[in-house]
Amino acid sequence: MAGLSVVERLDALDEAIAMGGAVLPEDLRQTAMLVADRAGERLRLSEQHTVVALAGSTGSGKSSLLNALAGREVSAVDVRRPTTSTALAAVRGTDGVDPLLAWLGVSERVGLDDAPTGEGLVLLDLPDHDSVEVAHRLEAERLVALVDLMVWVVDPQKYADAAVHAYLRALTAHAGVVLVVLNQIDRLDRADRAAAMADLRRLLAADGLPGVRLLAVSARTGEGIDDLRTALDTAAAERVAARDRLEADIVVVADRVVEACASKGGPVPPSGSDADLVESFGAAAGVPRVVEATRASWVREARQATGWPPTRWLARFRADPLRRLHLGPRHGSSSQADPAASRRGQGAMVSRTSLPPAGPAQLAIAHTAARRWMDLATTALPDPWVVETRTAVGTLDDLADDLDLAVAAAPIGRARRPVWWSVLGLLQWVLLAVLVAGALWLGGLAILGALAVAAPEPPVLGSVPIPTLALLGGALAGLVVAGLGRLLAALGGRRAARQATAALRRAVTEVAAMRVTAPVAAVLDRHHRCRAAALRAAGRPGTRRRRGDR
Amino acid sequence: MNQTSGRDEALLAALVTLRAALAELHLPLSMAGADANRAAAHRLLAHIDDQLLPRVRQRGAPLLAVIGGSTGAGKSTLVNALVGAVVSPASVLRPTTRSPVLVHHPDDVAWFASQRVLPGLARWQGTGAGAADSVRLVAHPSVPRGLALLDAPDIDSVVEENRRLGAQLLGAADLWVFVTTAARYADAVPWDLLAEAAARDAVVGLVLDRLEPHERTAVVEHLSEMLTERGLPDASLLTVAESPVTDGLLPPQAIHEVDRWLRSTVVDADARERVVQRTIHGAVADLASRVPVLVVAADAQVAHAELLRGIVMTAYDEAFASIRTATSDGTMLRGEVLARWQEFVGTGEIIRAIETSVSTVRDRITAALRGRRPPEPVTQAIGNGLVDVVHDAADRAAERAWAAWHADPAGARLLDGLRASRSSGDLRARVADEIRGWQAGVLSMVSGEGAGRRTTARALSFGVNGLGAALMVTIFAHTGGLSTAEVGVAGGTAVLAQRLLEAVFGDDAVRRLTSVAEKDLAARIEGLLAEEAARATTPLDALDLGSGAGLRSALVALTAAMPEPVDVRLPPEPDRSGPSRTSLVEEAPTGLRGWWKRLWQG
Repeated sequence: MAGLSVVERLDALDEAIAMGGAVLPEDLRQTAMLVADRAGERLRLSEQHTVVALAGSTGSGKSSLLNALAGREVSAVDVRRPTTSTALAAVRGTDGVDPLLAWLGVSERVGLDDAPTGEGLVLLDLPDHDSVEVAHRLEAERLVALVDLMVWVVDPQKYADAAVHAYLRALTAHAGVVLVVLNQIDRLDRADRAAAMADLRRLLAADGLPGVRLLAVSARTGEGIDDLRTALDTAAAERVAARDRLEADIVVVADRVVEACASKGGPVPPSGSDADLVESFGAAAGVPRVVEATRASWVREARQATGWPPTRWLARFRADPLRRLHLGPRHGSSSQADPAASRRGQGAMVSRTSLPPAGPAQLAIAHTAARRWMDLATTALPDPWVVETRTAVGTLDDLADDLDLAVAAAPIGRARRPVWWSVLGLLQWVLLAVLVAGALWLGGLAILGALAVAAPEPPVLGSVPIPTLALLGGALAGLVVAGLGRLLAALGGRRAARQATAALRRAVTEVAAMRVTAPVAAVLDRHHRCRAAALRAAGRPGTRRRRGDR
Repeated sequence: MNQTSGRDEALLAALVTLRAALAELHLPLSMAGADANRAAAHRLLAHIDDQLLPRVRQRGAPLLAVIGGSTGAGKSTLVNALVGAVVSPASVLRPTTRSPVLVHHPDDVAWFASQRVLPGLARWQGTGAGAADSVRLVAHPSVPRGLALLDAPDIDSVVEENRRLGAQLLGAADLWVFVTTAARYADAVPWDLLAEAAARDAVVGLVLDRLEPHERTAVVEHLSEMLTERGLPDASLLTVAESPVTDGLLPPQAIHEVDRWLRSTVVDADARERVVQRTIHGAVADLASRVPVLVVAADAQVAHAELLRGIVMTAYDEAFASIRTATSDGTMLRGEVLARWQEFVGTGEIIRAIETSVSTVRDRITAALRGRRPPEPVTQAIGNGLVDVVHDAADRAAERAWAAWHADPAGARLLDGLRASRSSGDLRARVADEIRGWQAGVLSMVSGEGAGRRTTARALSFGVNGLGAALMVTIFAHTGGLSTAEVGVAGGTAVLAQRLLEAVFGDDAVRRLTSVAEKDLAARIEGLLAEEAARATTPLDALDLGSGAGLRSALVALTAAMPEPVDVRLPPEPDRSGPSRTSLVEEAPTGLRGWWKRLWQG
């Protein structure tokens, strides 16, 4: 198996399970945790010992085989079935074996004669797994899950039992730590033996264990026992069975996690295609209305600043459309200084707008857009993950509130008063002053004329007297300047509208991110990481890291 | 051949009815225990077909002794020895017998060549490998008349087909000859089958085969204990010693016990009749005790299907209710519709200004209607808004119903991926069609109303389109329009529209028109949602649910026709207004309810 150590694989499996979370089926998570626990425990315990289980049907001769391996009677053999009800451990090498046996939960133990190699070995005689005693089956299953090396004992009568092959079929990843033994070979003559072995080999291949080690032995005559003993001693000497077994366990679980995180095609980038989403959220937030109000507000202010002074006051009678919406620079006290902060953390402090709440049609459009966006972003995900993204996003019932708050906090209508307003405003006053001066002058002349007092002729510019020029010119110029102001105000208003559009779009995009795109992206990221980690744990290629994988 | 008595005829009729009811029992929903119940129903059906019906029809037919048991126990060797000739090949390779062999006396051939027993299996003769689900017939004079031996495949090997067939053949047996060995007698699988034999009170001969002399005492003693413990105290325990096989045959003395036991059942008419009587009685009693569970399961399936249907209906009922709310409280008039309406009649400020003075309003609107903008934008804005709202509500209902089904194991099985969690792809187009149809209806209604009265001239002067738009606006603020907090702008709009209509048609006509238009819209939306709901419940409709009723009545008939009285507890009739369904539907507001009742009943 490629590269990674058991510990690294365990870490990867842990990560995959953590990332998968509730998306993974409950039983898979349980199994994974069990495997991780078991692997952790086993790694802490004696590496000197290799734990071998003799598993098999009732009456196949597990106990006889143990006795044959031990060279003396350590386990009771009986003709009554089922015989062995609790596991018995035959132990070689006592160093560190106590905690191991305690972990295995096996209390009965006998000693084995020391082998030349001196490596530790624990031989477990398991209860049967196919008799009427259900407790036996449970105990056997428990121990089979814990041991390092499994020796499956079958006999000529029972080698084709479904009860055995059901277990073997689940061990295809464990071929390296499985040994199948056909016991009671003495019951068959030579020709039958070859046929039976070939048939058993065929059945094992059908179980998905084509290359598994297969031995023919007879506990009664001792035939083949030496081969079996050698095989066990070799495994004990190599001391890799424990790791191989744990690795196989991890691979089995990791493969299931990979399956649960299957990806239909490459990951779809969740961003970049959200224009539609933002657009419809904006409509629901009343963005067009606010933009229009911003424009109108700007024009109103501009007119107020640059209009002809005698008629300027008229504009005051119209309410500021932006203020009527409870928006704009002069509303509120704290939020203007740092709009970003108010958007981020102090949303509660931003008061609500007086925008009419979004109608059902706009909200419907927003919801539909959110659904469409999610469906697009999750096309590559397997169904449970899609469900997870939908759960993460939720029903968006209070979307209107979020949008309203975002609009309220958006920095709109906060542009500085342009200089030209003051210039034109001042010019208007000057022109008014000229007008008034002309009027006064002419008025004075008229009074003097009425009193028949000779007045000096007013100076003349061209053929027009200057006071007349001042009066008419001042009025005319004032109107022209006001018209110019209006023109400029319209242009400025359009610019203000553009700026408001941009600001609101940012605010709405943020809401879309908070409510839809970010939660979906988070699930997509979890899916990707879960899959990558599971692939690593399974020791499979294709664990390239994606951008944004931190 | 015995004549069937009247009692037998009643029993036969009851069995045929029960068989039909069982055959119709599908239990399609994957509820807890449904798999086990389906399998049980299937077993009962096979048992009725294979053994009970043929036996009740013809009590005099030869007894069928099925030699069944574990793989490698030596069933074929035993059959060969009993017949005295190699009729079924034996081998060390497991499993050996893949196709069952039926050995009978040549005179009895007519009984077995027909499909009288085991109607599901084809017959063939000769040697070689048979097809699956077929039985090879071998006539041999050493088999006693009135008895046939069936060498069944094993019940516990890796070959699934064998396991199924082995169990089915044992079910068809008049005499169970169950073969096991010293190594096997405590295996779990055979005992599961023997439990069935015990439940059926079958005549069982348990053959302990390949017995080594030293094992004999201990094993026989233990096995007798187990038989007593497990409800088979009067099973005959027969032993066959491990003996050398010569020419494929065991020596006769080895099988002496088995041979004698088999012959004893057919030695005279009384013995035969006792076996037959006991077999029938036990089998019928077993049937009667097992069917009630299936009745309950069938009723539970129906109830659960209704629950699932109720979930969908509730979701769409609520969707309809939310659309009702949206289209009647004036909120629909916000946004686009309002903007277009204001463009239509003038500016927003003016509308507010004239709200107080109806006469001014009328003048103003008259001016507006006469020349300037055509009202299509209003109609269109209303139409678009409606499409969006209905589409969203349908999506929401689909998602809710899907999630609820997904959380239910049986419901989750019915879902085909995520498809049903969204409304159907063409829903938008269909909604748009319906809304257009509704709007066309409103316009024609308005023009019809205008044509039939003295108001024609006035109506024409306003324009049918303008009046139609006004009517639609009126509907959307119909209930809440004047009194709720929503009044504001939307309410004002509605007031305006209503006044306009009243000025043209008069109060009564306006009330009638709005009511008709409103009902038409509701009916169209309801129809659309009903289609969506039907789409969501398609998987349920496709199921063949049936009910427990047929089984229940068949069981009553069977109990009455029982050979001897047997205490059978019938499950209670399900409460038609069970809590599950009512609770779900009662909660829901009306709306789709009438529709779904019709659907359910007819």
